[in-house]
Amino acid sequence: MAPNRQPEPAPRPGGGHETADLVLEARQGGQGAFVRLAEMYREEIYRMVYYRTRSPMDAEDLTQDIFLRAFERIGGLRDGDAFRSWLFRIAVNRVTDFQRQKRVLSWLGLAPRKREDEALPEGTAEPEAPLYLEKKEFWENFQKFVKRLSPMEREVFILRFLDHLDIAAIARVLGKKDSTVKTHLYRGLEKFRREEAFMEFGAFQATRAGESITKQGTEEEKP
Amino acid sequence: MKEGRDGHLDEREILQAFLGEGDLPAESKDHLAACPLCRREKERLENALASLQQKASLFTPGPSRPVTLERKRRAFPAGLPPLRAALGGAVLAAVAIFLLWGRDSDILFRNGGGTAFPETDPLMTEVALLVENPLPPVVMDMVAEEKVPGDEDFFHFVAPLPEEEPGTDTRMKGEIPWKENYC
Repeated sequence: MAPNRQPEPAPRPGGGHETADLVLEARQGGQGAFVRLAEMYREEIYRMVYYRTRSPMDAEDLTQDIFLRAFERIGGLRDGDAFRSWLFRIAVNRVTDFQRQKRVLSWLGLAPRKREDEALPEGTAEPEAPLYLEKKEFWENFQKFVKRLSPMEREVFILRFLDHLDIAAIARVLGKKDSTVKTHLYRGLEKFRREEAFMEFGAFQATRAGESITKQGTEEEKP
Repeated sequence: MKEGRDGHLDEREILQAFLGEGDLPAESKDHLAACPLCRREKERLENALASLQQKASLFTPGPSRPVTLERKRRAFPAGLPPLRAALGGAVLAAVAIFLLWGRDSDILFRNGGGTAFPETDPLMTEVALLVENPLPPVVMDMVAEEKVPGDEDFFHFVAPLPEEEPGTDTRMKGEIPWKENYC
């Protein structure tokens, strides 16, 4: 294994220059340019929302809403190269609002019924069932772990290791100094190392499913 | 560098090394470069995080709808009442009650509707009784509030008018000048 296996930022679908050019065009009212930007970043933002809500339906709705907000505000974005962190900032704020709303509704007893979209659909083929169970177990363990982090540690940890943002980008997204982000990340990592999750994720590579993931990861890395 | 683990990097330094070796003291950096045990510790953390990322990515579905730039009216989730409609209804009801209260508040409390100040009710009832039912005539007579017919002689007897004296005013003689003019 390579000595430094820190997560690299996700490859930009269209490259930095293309993004900056599209942002410039979108700022001048080019709707087509913005649609292209939305296509480029849609999956990344959807995943980002899903990691925090773990509901495909909410993730769909919120992703749509985030891009609408971004479209309405793109006139105020000066630096086209900062589009990704700017978009993540909108997304983080929107998800935070959503979770706050959800808490209030839940407190008022108006929370919608729990969706069953995570349930194993009827007629699922036998070989898919273990994967489903593994998925369920993974998100339960992850949830247990992030619950032990403070809100800022959690946000920084997820932005760094799941959303693949570097420290400077996280600082821009959260409006904090790099040193503050590092401190929260350090604390989050400290807890991660102490948790069972560390052992589980660490030992995961040896499992059968781990082999399939590693295989997939290798395939994904191919251009 | 800490000496707590036989000269190896401690947990804090391993984490620092993971976050960026630039933050490590030169001595620790050199040790990390030379020590396979410390490098393995760092790699364990890296592997665990890489595994976490891969699993999270694998267990996340992809988006199914393309993004559109039209704001759709969001349907209420199943089981959730239409909150806006409920809020609108509540506001309308509040306005209606306010208007009714402001315009006809006395109608609400007049004649059988109760009073605005129920604590003064007994006192007002007593006052009304006194006005409608004054003291009995005998008592009124005693306090000279009521004249009984035929009592003029009695009064004259009890308190006679002064005798007529020369030079006194005619009024003192019991003659009433205006009586002559008007009777």
